[in-house]
Amino acid sequence: MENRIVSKFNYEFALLIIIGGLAVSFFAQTFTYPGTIAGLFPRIVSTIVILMVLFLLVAKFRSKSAASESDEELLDDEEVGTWGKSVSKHALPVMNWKISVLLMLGYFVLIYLIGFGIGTFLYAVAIPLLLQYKNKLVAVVFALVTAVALIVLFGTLFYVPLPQGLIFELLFGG
Amino acid sequence: MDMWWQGFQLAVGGNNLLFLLIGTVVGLIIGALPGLGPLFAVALMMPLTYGMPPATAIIMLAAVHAACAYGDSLASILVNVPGGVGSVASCWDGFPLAKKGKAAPALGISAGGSLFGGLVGWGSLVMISPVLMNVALKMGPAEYFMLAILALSLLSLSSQGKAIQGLILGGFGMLLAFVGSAPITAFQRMTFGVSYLEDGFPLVPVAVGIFALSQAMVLAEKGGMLAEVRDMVGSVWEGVTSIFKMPYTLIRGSIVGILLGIMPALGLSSANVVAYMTERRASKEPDTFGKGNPAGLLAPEVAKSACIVGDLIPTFTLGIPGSSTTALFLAAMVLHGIQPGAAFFQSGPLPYAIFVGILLAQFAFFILGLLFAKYFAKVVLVPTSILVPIITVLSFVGAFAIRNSILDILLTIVFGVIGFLLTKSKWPAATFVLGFVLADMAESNFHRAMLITGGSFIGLVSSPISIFLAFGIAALLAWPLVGSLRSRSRRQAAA
Repeated sequence: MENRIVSKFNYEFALLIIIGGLAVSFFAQTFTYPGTIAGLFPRIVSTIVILMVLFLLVAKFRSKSAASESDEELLDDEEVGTWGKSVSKHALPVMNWKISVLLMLGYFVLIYLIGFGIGTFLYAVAIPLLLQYKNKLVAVVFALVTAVALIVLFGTLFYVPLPQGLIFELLFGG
Repeated sequence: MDMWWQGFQLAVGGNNLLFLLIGTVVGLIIGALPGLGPLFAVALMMPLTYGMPPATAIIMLAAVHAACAYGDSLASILVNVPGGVGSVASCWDGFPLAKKGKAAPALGISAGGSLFGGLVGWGSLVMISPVLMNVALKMGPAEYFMLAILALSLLSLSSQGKAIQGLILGGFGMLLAFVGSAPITAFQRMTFGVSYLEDGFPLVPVAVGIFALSQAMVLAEKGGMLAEVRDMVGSVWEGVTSIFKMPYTLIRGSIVGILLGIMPALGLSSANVVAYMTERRASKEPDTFGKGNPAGLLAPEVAKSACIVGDLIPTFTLGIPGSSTTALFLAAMVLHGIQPGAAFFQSGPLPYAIFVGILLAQFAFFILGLLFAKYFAKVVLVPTSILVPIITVLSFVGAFAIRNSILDILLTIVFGVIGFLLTKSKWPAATFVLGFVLADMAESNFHRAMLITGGSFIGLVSSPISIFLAFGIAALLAWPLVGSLRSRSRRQAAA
């Protein structure tokens, strides 16, 4: 038996729960609005969304109970055959999406605390190394160039005031 | 003519040509990356246009859009992975041509066909827009409401076989668009007491999250490089000149592209496939399709480029997005203080400058694509470990730049996760943007129409235009039912 990649996370189910949950909360809220104008369209649209989400959930439940397979997700042959020399049918995902999100949140916190420039440098160094990029020196230079280029591009060319970071604002004012 | 001359001077003046070139190069690079198409490219570049003059911004986005749509074909032909949804059909005969050792002529067919389609689309934009403008001037709230409903009813057709998922996402987009102030009464809806939501969800961070940041997560999962690149032998120019030996293919592809471009909500995703199917049906040798028939590559390329420009017709004239990408164009126009519709066409030389810019963009991607296609194709060799931080950083900056709000970055991350779930579930994310953009048009015009007619629904279908639109809506809603009844009766007849 081949050693296949498995992912037990059911993406479609998560999506239906998120969208359905939001639609239900919107629907419930509409009954607190004064008059009819504010609540009419949201009520109609949320009702339609809820009904369609329920329809899909029931369809998924029926097809799951009819099938004998578990909800393992395998990489498509197409994807594997065409994408990347280093990704093989038997390799683990290089970076799980939950780790990606945590790192993005970490980057967001860095921007908030120490500013865009340093935050970007740290993030742009970390990601290539975590994604197993072999040349560490190139990764550091790339991160430096990225941070500087974006500060120059946005700060100078596009006049976008990038965040300085809470710590620097407290230390140096402004 | 005077306006055209002023528009030309505006289009080639200042930094416009430079940004047109930058947009073309960026579009070609992003297009060459498999899986990242014009929607991603425009979503990523749109925030960068914030500080630019309006004409420069729209010209650059048009260049990104056109170049990326062409660049998508590089991945389709060389790697057999669609560069974007508009290049799916280009794989079917483009890759077999490359496997036969005709990669360079195939790229030439793609470049020549894309230029031809783009020029035809441009001609339609220039000729049809004034006609549609006259229709738009006769339209009031009732007609705009019916038009928005017509566009929404097209969501199921534009969902690439996942009609229910497309409608759910369209509805989800509408619900998110309702957050904030209600029309007419300005009552705060669905803010849950959070002051950040009082102005509603801003489209740019949402779009950047769903279409750009989500791809960073997808690429981080894959790792390595995106693909290998086939060697290119033969002459690109041979492919360009060969398109003129297929005049009927050029005509058919152009018609399909323009028709699907003008229809709201239907865009690239439909044009290339419909053009391919039409060409195969019209061919005397349908069995050769899928095995490297040049007409099978030319038709979708022409249709795609004609559609790209054709999508702008309803966008500029009626304020209805021709596709999800032009929905972002609409957002960019509003960001730069340009109101679509009559006001746009009466704003002096600006619309003419944009038209000239769009025309120049067609030649820009053709020339650069022809000269440097083999180098742009090598971008697939850039490791994903380098691409991921670039996409993330640009997404964060883009989200922040719109309102200088750091919370917009958090919003982008949230929608990045939703976009990732959509990608993994293979749901048509584009319908979300369409629902988001059309919601306000539908709701506010409905309530205005109700105020005008004193609450009478009959007023919604009292003019010839609204009656015509109502029939269109009824036909579109009945279409899936008719289709399933016909296939059921065919099955019964066969049994």
